[in-house]
Amino acid sequence: MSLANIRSKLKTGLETISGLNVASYIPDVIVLPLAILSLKPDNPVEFDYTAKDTNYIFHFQIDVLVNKGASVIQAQVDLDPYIDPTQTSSIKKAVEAVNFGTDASTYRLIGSPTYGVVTIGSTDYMAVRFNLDIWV
Amino acid sequence: MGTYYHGRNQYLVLGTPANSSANIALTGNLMETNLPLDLDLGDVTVAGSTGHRFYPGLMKSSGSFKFVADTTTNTSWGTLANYAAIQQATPANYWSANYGPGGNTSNSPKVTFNFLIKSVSLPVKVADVVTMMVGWEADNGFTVSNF
Repeated sequence: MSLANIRSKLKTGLETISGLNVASYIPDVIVLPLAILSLKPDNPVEFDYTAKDTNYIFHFQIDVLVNKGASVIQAQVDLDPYIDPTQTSSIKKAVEAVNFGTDASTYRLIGSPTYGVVTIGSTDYMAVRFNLDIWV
Repeated sequence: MGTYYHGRNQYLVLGTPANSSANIALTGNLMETNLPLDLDLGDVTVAGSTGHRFYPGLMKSSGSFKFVADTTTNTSWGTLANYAAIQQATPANYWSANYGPGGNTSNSPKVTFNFLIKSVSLPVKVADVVTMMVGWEADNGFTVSNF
């Protein structure tokens, strides 16, 4: 198991979504539409899920950003296919198709705690965040 | 000041009724244990006693192990399979437990005992990994020693 392998496999999985750019770490440059993998800043890893340090949990988040542009309505239309689990661009579908092999015991894409306009630098984006727990 | 024993280091290996040498190493799956070391006490209070008086009886204990279920042969699912195999039968060998609340390093405390499983529960939630809880009754007391 390695955290780098998990990031790499998630990146490869998310890249199966047509047209989506994927950053396995918080990037310096934003190229839309973009999925960003990162560990939750307030709780990145939870140790001692079982005895002897055998199992622990990585708490990931996946932020998907699309162009807000002049129309916030169009931005929502562009973002929805990533959220809708029935669509081919579904983040849930892409994550659940990843074969983690020996890098993870199991995982769960929990859901989306936030959705809306975010500002990075001086630019507004339409964004949704997914929480993903990975047991290793 | 001494060094504390921490629950994250706890150690548990079970011997099965089917084959006491086929150990089930549950340490890596173990989440919680409860080993109540009870003792029957006979009330021998008599007239004139200023408080209740007791006489020690036999050890008696019901406890539990909780652990993550996984696909590894002869670990956690093995526990369930062996439980199913001994239902409504008296096994030739009882289960045996080799437990260290603070781990199994040299000189750390060890509790060994034989037991029968009397319940297995699978509290499965959609939002979490599958765990198992095994409830047991100790047979013929405990032995407390060191690793």
